[in-house]
Order: sequence, then C-alpha cells, then structure tokens
Amino acid sequence: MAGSAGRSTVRRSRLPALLGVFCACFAATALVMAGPMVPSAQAFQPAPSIPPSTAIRTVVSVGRWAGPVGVAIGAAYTAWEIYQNKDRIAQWWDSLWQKDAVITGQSLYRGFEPAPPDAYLTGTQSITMKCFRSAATNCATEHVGPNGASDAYVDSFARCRNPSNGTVGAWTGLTSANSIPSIWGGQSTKTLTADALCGTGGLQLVGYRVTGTHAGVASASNPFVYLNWCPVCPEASKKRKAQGFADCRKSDGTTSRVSGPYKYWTNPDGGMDGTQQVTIPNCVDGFPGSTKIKEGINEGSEDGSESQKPKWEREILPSWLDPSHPAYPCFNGTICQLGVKINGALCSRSIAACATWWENADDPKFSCHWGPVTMAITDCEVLKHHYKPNAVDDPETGVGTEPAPAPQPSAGTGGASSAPTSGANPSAPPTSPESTTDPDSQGCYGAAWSWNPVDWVMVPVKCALKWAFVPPPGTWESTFGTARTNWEASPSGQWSAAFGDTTTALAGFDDQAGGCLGPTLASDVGGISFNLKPLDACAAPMSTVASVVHGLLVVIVGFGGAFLILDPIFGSLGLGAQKQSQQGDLL
Amino acid sequence: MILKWIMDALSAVFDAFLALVSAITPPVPGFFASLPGYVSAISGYMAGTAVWVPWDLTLSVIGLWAVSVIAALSIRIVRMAVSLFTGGGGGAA
Repeated sequence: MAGSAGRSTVRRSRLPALLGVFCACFAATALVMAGPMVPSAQAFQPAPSIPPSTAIRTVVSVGRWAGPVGVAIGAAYTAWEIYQNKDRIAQWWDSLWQKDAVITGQSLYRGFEPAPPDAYLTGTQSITMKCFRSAATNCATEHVGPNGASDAYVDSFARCRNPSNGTVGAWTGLTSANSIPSIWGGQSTKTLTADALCGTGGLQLVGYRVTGTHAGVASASNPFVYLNWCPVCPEASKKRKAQGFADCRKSDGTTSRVSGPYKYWTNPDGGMDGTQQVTIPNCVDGFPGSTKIKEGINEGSEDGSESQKPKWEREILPSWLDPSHPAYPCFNGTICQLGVKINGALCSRSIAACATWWENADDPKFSCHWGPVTMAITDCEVLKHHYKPNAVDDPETGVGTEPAPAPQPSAGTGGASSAPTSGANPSAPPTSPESTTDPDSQGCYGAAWSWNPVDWVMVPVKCALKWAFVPPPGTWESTFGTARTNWEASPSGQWSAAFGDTTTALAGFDDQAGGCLGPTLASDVGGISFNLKPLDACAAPMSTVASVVHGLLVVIVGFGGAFLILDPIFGSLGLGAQKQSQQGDLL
Repeated sequence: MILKWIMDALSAVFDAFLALVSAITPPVPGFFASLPGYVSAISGYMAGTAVWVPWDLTLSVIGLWAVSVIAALSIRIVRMAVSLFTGGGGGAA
C-alpha cells in the first residue's frame, strides 16, 4: 500500500515540475530575446530601417507570449496535482520522521515513537506513545498490514522487572485493553502507566513493544513489522554495537584482521535481533592478495563497559591451507615447480619419450605435477616443448621453448652440388634484370640503344615520373597519421573532440530505446525501497497526458525555436526585434 | 619523391600552424572535457521521455539556433569590416 502510494505520488508530481522547469527556461529565453532591450551603443550608422514583415511580427509575438503561457499552464497543473495528492504527500512527509522501528520482509511505514523517560517506570508513572499519522483517525488501522486491518495481526508486549531481585521477565503479550491496536482509537497520543502494563504488584515497566505480522506472509517469529522501543529499561537504553571482521592470510603466511564498520542499535535483550545487518568485510579490499580464513561478528556495549566479544564466527579454511593438503607446503615457504612425470619419474630432456609428451598427453603414463600436487595434464601445457632435446630455455621463466627448425637442404639436381666446378669463366656481366624494353614492365632501364623510342624514352620517363610523383609505400598513411595524431593532441583537436563528443551525447536524448516507460527512480524513503517510473506513459491515462504534452511542446518549441533561430539573423541585418523594439514600431 | 616532398612540406606547414594555434588556444577546461559524460548521464536518465518531449525537434532547434548565432556574428563582423571602407555605410551595431 505504501509502496504504491509513494509511486503514485511521485508519478503525479514529477510531470508538472518537469513541464514547469522547461517552460520557465523557455520563457526566460524568450523574454530576454524578444523583450524590450536597452539599445546598445552604436558604433556606426544604423542600417536603413526596413519595416518588418507580418511573418516576423507573428513569430516575435508568439515567442514573447508562448513562454509565460507555458509557465502559467505548468504552474497551474503543478498546483492541481499537489492538491490532488496532498494526503499522500503528508504521509510521505510523516514517514521521514518515524523512528525506532525495524522493518523486515514486506515494506510498511512506521507510525509510532515513544517519548522516553530515562528510567524504568513504576506505579502510575507513564510513557506516552505518539502516533505520527497525519489524521488521528488513521492511527487505529494504519499500523497494520499492507492490505489493511483484515489481514494483519498486531500485538503488544510489555516487559517488567522485579525490584526485589532485579529479575527481568519475558516479553508478555498484553490484553487488548492495554495493547496498542486496541487503545489507539482515534487518538494521536496515548499514555500508558506501569501499573496498567505490569500489574499493580509493584513491578517496574522496562519495555513495551509492538509486533505486527502478516497472515500468509510472515509468522509471529518472523514479523514483518517489529516496532521495538524500550524507553524505560536501563539495560535496553544502553546502546550496543557490533562489528564484522575477517581474518585474511596471504600465501607467504602473513595474516591480518580486517574489520568492518560498527553497527549500533538498542535492544533490551542485549543481543542482536536478527534484523540488524552487520557487514562482514572482504579480504580483497582490506588485505589485497589474501584469502579469508575466518569471519565473524564481535559484539559489545557502545560505551565500552562490556568488551567486544565474539557473537558469531566461523573458520573458512581453504583446502590448500589445511596442513593435510598436499599443496600446503607450496603456500608456506616451499618453492614448488611445475613438471611432467612419466611413470612417476620426473621428465628430463635425456628421456626420449618425454620429448613428445604433449602429443601423447592422453597416455596415462604422463602426469602433471606442481610440487607434491597432481594437476590436470593440461595445466602443464606450458611445458609442451620443455623436454625436447634441442629446446631453448626462456631466460626469464626457465621454460624450454620450441627450437628453431634445423636447416634441411635437399640435394641439388647436379649431384652433390649444383655449382659448376669446371668450365670457363663468363666473359660478360649478366644482364640487369630491370633492363627492359617493355613499357609496361616494372623495370626502369631502357635499352641502351634502340630505334624504338619506347625503349629509351618512355620507359626511363615513366620511371622518372614514378620516382617523382609516386611516394614510397606507407607515405600517405604515415603523413596523415602523424598529422591526425598531432591534431588530436593539440588543444584545437581536444576542443573539437569535446564538441563532437558532446554533440554525440546530446543525440542520446532522442534515443527511442527507452520506449514509453521513462526514467526509473530508485530511492529509499524511511527504509522503504521504491523503484518508480514516474513518467511511465505506456498506458492510459498517462499515455494521453504524454500525447497532449508532446503536442503542446511541439508547438511551443517549434514557434519559439523559429523565433530563436531567426532573431539573431534578422538582428544582424538590422531587422531584429531588439532594433525594431527600440524604435517603437514593433509590437 | 617530389610528391613526398610536397607532402612533407604541407605536413610541416600544418604542424607549424597547429603549433601557432595551440599557443593561443586555451586548453579544454576540465568541466568541458567531462561535459559529454554528464550529458550522456543525463540523457540516460531521460531515456524513454521522447513520448513526452519532442527531443528531435528540440535538438534540431538548439543546433540551428547555434548555427544562426554564429552566422549572425559573422554577418555583423562583415558589416563592421565593410563599414571601415564605406565610411559607415555598412555599419553593424
């Protein structure tokens, strides 16, 4: 009930606010641009006055009036929505001031606060309970379940102390005459005496609480509302605190305790009631590189009169920190190395079968080991070349890598060697492979002498032109890449990039991916979580409202935008609203 | 090779121009460098509001308005410059 109420409140109240803000901004702009302006000093002779056209008059008129009209509409709509939701707003406002309650499970509001005296009460001494509901008549029903009084169960308990021996009794259910659900009636405050709650035998009142449950959702042992205040019991007024801790250990054996923030509460039972959330810190942040080996919660009094004692703790011993674990030595000073074994014996390069162990990794005679720990065979993949006889050890890791393939020249067709071993030496140098008479060839040397001009003119000219105008490969990429890098690193480039990024980001406003749901507002008011979609226009009547607002804004933005766009241009030509206004012949 | 020389020369000119402009161009303020992030965040929050607000029209108006302001400024500068040669005939106040 509360959740839907708050959702409805926000949904109805955000729209006019958004509209009002938009219209106010537009009005300010329109008035500044269109309103009468103090004429600026004119450095030069003014341009000849040209009477404004009817279109300009219309645009200026609309621009001048559209803003104030929009503001007026938005303000009126906002006021109307506030009036329609005044009760819900009052309820939300009250919820901000409700205290001393713990809410679990179903979300409900809290509506009571005790006015605490400083000690236990006796006789006719009393405590006053106050209902914070906006309307007193709601106090009898609004402290019950989310579906109203019919499906909720609320009961009251008191706790009393025997002054003769100091014994504090258990929480005792009260008769309807003294229980909150029965006595609230139409009152906003209620006074309860010690005698009324503990009897007339002289017992001292040390606590009073209200517990609510929801049929079918929670049980008496798991209340969804637990209003627990104890304004009068000395032990209850003593604040307590608890702190989560984690013992963290690194592989080198060093340990450190990481503690979380303190959690404070007041509880007459002296212990945590199960609804307090104490954060257990993690080792990742508190002691980087370590593993949690123990966690728990220490609890004690806030003032230190009761030292912090373990309330709960447990060992989280990783398997490898168990001394019986084979890997234990590897985390406690022993340097363990990765290795492959064949039939239980560590491989080496002198064992021929180990050279190809990776190719035969499926063979059960091979196994992977890290110190005394047997690993999966695939964990040793890094050693797949390590045991080859000609493997080259990496100087940093010591792991053998695949050797470079040995040259394996094949025998030439001429026998043992293809080089001739006999015969005369050549008398002339070999022909240059680039010397050509083909104009389409990539060669550049034409024939030394030829009657064909293609041979000794075109080919060399082509080569010269290529040399002159065809840059080396990669020149374009290098030059433009350097220029681009310099541009991007310069202030001008950074301005340009910022403008571009901003423009791109602005385009995100027109992203239609959000559909009609609108933005989501996640909030937590008084311990109650809301996940609101105040502009959800997927269904009537909001879809109709959205359509009307959209059309209205199209008109406003269209006409106002036309004015905004045209006015600077006309102004620069001496035809703008400012110039004409100061001459008193427009509007 | 000639083309490469030309490209190198143009690159040097561009670098010199860039250095000159950089010397008189203030660095991008931090808030402006962060502006796209803020705008993106806001636009993210406003996702799905296109049924309410004509963002396409609004953004177009903003863009055209910026262009018109720049154009108007350019026109005024030109008119002022012209007025220097025409004895005030092209003055733009």
